[in-house]
Amino acid sequence: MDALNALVAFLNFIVVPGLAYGSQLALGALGITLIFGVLRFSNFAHGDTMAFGTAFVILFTWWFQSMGISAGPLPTALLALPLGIAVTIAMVLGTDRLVYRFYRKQKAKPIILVIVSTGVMFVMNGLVRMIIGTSEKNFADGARMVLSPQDFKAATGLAEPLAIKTTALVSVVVALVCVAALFWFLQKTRTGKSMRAFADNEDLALLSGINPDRVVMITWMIAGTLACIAGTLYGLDKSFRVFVYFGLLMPIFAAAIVGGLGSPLGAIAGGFIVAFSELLVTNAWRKILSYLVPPDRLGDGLYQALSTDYKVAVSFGILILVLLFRPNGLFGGK
Amino acid sequence: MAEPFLIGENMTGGYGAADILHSCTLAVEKGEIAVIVGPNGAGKSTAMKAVFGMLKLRQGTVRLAGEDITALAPQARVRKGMGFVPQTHNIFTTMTVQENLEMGAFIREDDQIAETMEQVYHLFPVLREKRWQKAGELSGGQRQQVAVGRALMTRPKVLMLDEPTAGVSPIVMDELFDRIIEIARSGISILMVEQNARQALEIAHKGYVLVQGSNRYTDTGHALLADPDVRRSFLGG
Repeated sequence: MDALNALVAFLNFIVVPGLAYGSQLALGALGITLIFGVLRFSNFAHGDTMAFGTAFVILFTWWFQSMGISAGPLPTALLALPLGIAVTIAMVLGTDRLVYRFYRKQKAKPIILVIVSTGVMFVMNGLVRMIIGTSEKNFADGARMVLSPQDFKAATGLAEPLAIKTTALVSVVVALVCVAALFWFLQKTRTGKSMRAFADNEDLALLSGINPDRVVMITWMIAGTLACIAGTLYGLDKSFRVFVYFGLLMPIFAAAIVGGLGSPLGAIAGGFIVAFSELLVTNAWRKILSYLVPPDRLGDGLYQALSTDYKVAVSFGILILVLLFRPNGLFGGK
Repeated sequence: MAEPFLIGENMTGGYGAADILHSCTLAVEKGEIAVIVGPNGAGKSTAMKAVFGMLKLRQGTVRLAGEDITALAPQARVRKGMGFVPQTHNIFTTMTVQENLEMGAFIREDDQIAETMEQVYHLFPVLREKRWQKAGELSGGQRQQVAVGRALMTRPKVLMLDEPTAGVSPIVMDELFDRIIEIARSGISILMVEQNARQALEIAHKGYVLVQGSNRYTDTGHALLADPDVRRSFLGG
């Protein structure tokens, strides 16, 4: 019974939140890795692109709510998502036309584009704050729990509850759908293949008659879509604040680099590696251990390696370890 | 005599201020093989790139089937029926052999792509075996076959090869040359640069010996091989 309680506590505090958070990071990291593969620079504005998309999803959600439209047990934000995605795509395409295209024409070095994207990041950050404000926004509605702790306790008779939030389940399911759709697109469609060809060997892609402007446009559209979805899922699951999204850049980049920049599969794996590492390191293990270790041997400690305030340090740590020992990432990117 | 199918005439130009090519002329007839040989730094690859439009010409013209294409970009020349296989980075390493061929046919809008692919697999049977494998995992000779196959997928009228046998073993080289002869017999003109001058001239209808960006000797392949001057200077006796 104690072992079961420990397992349930482990599922409740590590596995379920890890899967949800990992899904959100994976979608973010996919955007980073696609931009890197095709446009060959690290897009520092990606976190704020997520914030931008989410801000518009929140605005559309409020609008829907004011009209009395809801998605039943699911968050209304899912209905607002397509509109948010459309605005995000318009924004990234506009940014490309206004900013990045100029540097692409000049064949600017990747490092210059990184600095340019940092500039875009600051502009975007300010823009989002002007549009929706700096305060915290909760926009999750619908049923709060798929599996409520009370129901679980009543059904199993265990002392430890297992709770699955609707937003956690939505995160995992939406991420699965997005990843399946993206891989189908990249592997099976002519346009997807031409994107991979362009990322693989730009000169040969041009010789084969692949239109670079089209590839770049589609890459931005996909990256914008993924950013908006990732940001919305994260905001539903936790809450929305512009500064928090700015900070998300770190774990997302860590995820993309751990998997190997340019490798979509790696980005997904990296997302979960970073998410679970954060949770494992910042979790207070006392509760789980209390079922497994006799009380007199347990002592007073929380058995927490790092306070949750330091969870960004985990991303940094992983990043440094990967860059030291496996600079191309686990899945051999660039 | 009628004009050759493809001709780069009196080409002068270079990458920067200094010219690399000096009034250099290259031509190939329909279904024939023309080979460019010469010492290192003679401008062999540069001359071929000039024909393909990858080099800005100060003087001279390039004509394909009588049409002046001097002003066209390389991509536009692909659409006109020119196929080009670069010396390096000539395949998509992360994509499968079949996907490489599909990308070669990217500009085609007809419905006979599968047919052309079948012809390429017929020409290079090993590619059919490995069609689901990543091109980057193949051996050097097989990669070259993928590269040539990709270029053939556009159904070019002229195929330009930049040192197709660089870095492959002598046996594989002979095999590749046999395939190139076969391609030429199907009516496709071949213009290629080769380091292995002797073997290349054996199969050439026409040979161009370039020195410092100019034509030094031009004749049939066999005549060049028999020419004592050419033998002494370029073929090692």
